[in-house]
Amino acid sequence: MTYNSPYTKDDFLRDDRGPHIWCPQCGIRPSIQCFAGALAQTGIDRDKIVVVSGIGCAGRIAGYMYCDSFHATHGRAIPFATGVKLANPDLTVVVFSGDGDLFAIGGNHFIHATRRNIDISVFCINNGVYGMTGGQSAPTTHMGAWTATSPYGNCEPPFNLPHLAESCGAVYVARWTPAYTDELTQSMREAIQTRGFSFVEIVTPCPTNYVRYNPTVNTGSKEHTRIDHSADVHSLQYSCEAQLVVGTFVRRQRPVFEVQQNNRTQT
Amino acid sequence: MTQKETTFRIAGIGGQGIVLAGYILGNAATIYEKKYALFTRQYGPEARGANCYSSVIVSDQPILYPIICSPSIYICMSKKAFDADNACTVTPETIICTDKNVDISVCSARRYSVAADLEARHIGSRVVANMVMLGYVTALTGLIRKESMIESIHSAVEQQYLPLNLAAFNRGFSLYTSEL
Amino acid sequence: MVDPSVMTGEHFWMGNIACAEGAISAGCRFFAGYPITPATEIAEQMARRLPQIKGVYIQMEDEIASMAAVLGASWAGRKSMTATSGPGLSLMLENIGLGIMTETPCVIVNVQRGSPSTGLPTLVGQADMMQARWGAHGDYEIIAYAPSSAQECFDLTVLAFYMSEKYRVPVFILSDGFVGYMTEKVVVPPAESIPQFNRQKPNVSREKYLPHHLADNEVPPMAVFGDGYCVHATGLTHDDRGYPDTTEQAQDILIKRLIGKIRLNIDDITRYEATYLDDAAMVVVSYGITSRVCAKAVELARSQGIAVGHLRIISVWPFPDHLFRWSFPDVKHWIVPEINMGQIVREVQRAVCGQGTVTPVSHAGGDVIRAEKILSVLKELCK
Ligand code: SF4
Repeated sequence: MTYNSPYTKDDFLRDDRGPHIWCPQCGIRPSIQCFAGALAQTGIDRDKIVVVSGIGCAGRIAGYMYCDSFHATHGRAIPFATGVKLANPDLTVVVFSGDGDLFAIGGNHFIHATRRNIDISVFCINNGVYGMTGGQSAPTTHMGAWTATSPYGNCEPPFNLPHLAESCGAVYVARWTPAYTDELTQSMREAIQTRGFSFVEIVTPCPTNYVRYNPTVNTGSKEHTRIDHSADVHSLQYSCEAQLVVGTFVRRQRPVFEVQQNNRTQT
Repeated sequence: MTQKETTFRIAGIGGQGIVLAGYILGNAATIYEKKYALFTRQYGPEARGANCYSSVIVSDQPILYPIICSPSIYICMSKKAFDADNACTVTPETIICTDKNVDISVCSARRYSVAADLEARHIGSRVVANMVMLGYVTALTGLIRKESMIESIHSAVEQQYLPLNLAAFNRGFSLYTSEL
Repeated sequence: MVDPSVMTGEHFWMGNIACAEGAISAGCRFFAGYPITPATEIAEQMARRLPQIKGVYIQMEDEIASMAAVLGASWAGRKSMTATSGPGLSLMLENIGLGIMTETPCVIVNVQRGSPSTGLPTLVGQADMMQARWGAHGDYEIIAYAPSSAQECFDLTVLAFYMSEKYRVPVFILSDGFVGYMTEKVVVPPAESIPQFNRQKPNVSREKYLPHHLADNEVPPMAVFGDGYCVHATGLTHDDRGYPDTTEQAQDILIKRLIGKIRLNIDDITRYEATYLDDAAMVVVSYGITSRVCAKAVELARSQGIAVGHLRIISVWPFPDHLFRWSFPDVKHWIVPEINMGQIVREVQRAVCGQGTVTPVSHAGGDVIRAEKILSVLKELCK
């Protein structure tokens, strides 16, 4: 597919930051390449794009994007982005962060921004663990998995993130893995171009601090995944062994926050 | 530096419009009389039924001290609130205005019993007993012109409730003047 | 042209409403908050007023989110603020620290109530003074003003925006449950005589712009999102490009600069009022609502022949040490009444540096200190 855009993906990657911080096998790097590609494909004026991250390995993404970017406190990327978007609706605002940041410490902000239908996109690197701090269990750690803080096996059921997003009202919900370069890129582009709260989960278990101790974890390769756009988000499987269903599960329309607010103010 | 301050204390329970009465009084003095007024309120955490107090200080000069200990005029709309008022004490000089229904045991040479609740009911609603009382006190003290009070009521009360409130205020005002 | 957002004229406003109108007059066009007694009227007023003047109001899910949204709106170019009370401020401090680190202009109103914890929701306290100063983790300088009247709620909120834009720092209004509800005359001046400061923008190209570069301890110009500078801001220790640089050397440069831009400009930031200081060997130090009580106590004392002065500190942070050390060297006794068990009194002790005695007059909260109590302390000290 060709796009009429003044940008290439490299225009969105900072080249003056030296070596990045991620481990060589990490899925964050290819995800950023897809993200930069998606931003380029949209053709949106680079000066009007803002990327916000929280804390953690994925929290560093904002710092490597060549556009306006902000590295917020742990869990607070979404409310920060909410302030940005409402203060200047001309900006395209993307939150790119990790599962712990967005769904443990930041879970409350996620559900409320989704409910309000703030016109932002949230991309979540779901690596199943707290990677940067050395591999502690997260709300997305699989049942039974070993982590530094679940030494007897994780006893908590993980979130089904697409279901959570769907039930709170997200207008676009997708799940991919970095193995699906083209699909992930396209999905991110669609999410950015969708008006309203859009959500893309990128399942890419942390090789360094998670897969190493849990070799049976589904790492999201094409053999272990299956595309099913019509899958019911309610029953999406997310376990070490089961095949991972990926796809774009939700596309719908709902009035965004500003429109709802303006309508009411004017009457 | 001496200043002549007139101090009001209004005691009642939540829902009686105690805060509104205090606001209207202070607002009239400040905006329509070009005096200085300082209005504070105290109430419990409950929205309804709690003791509720307004304090208003009126002066020709800027007001420094925001506290009233013994008010010049004590307006009592509820015995429960009056008895529980441990911030203000009534002295023999205090002018006391109570609703006729309210029976408080306190001595003052200048005690007035006002049928505010009864008159309010005649006018149409008990909730404007506060306005009857304000009208009465306006006439009694002569501190603030009637017109200023009426302007203040206009600025503080929603349009649809204005006629009721104004009627109550005027009724209270004439209650005092007819006693003369 | 008349600015319709400024309500020029005389009003009978409670302190909380005056804060909201002060913010609007200063150009505030974004408010994010969460309901809390005794600060809620500020949010309610903003909810009514901001949509009328192309502003944005949003009630967030908690105070953490509120403060984050305020920072986001500031980075998107709006003057923004929030208002809360102690329990809410405890939550906001995380992102106030981020605001300090990323040099984000914004204003936080704290209408203090009796504390700690849930404390006395409807009643006055002044016990968050140190929380405002040190509550976010780490080392920093902050600006805080303490209003003592509804008029000052207006004036100091205007000033708070001015200073936050000038120094690129979150600025506190340390109001309290008494001032917040105290209703008095407020005079709103014509729009053109309301002092406004708008953050400086860079005047160099994107390639040359260094968002955190600093010459001569000046405040760096601020390119906001959408200005075309591709800025990056982070809560991590950063270099002059804004990029993370987590080294001792970068920390040394950054922290010294963030602190220096406040400390070195203390004369510009400080506001105070000195009464009867010429002949006084004994001086009452006060701030916020307690100033009103102290002023009365000082009048009473002087009418009884006691030569006492009154130093009202309006800018509580950065603490105006210089007043105590240099401006009034002949004072022998300092008396510090406050509605807490002794917070600012410690600052006075530190600033006085043994050159005089310092006496606290404490109140645990729930009401203002009575003038008579302060008077009795003054009389005692005269013996
Ligand atoms: S720790 Fe894990 S998530 Fe973090 S960079 Fe390394 S591989 Fe990626």
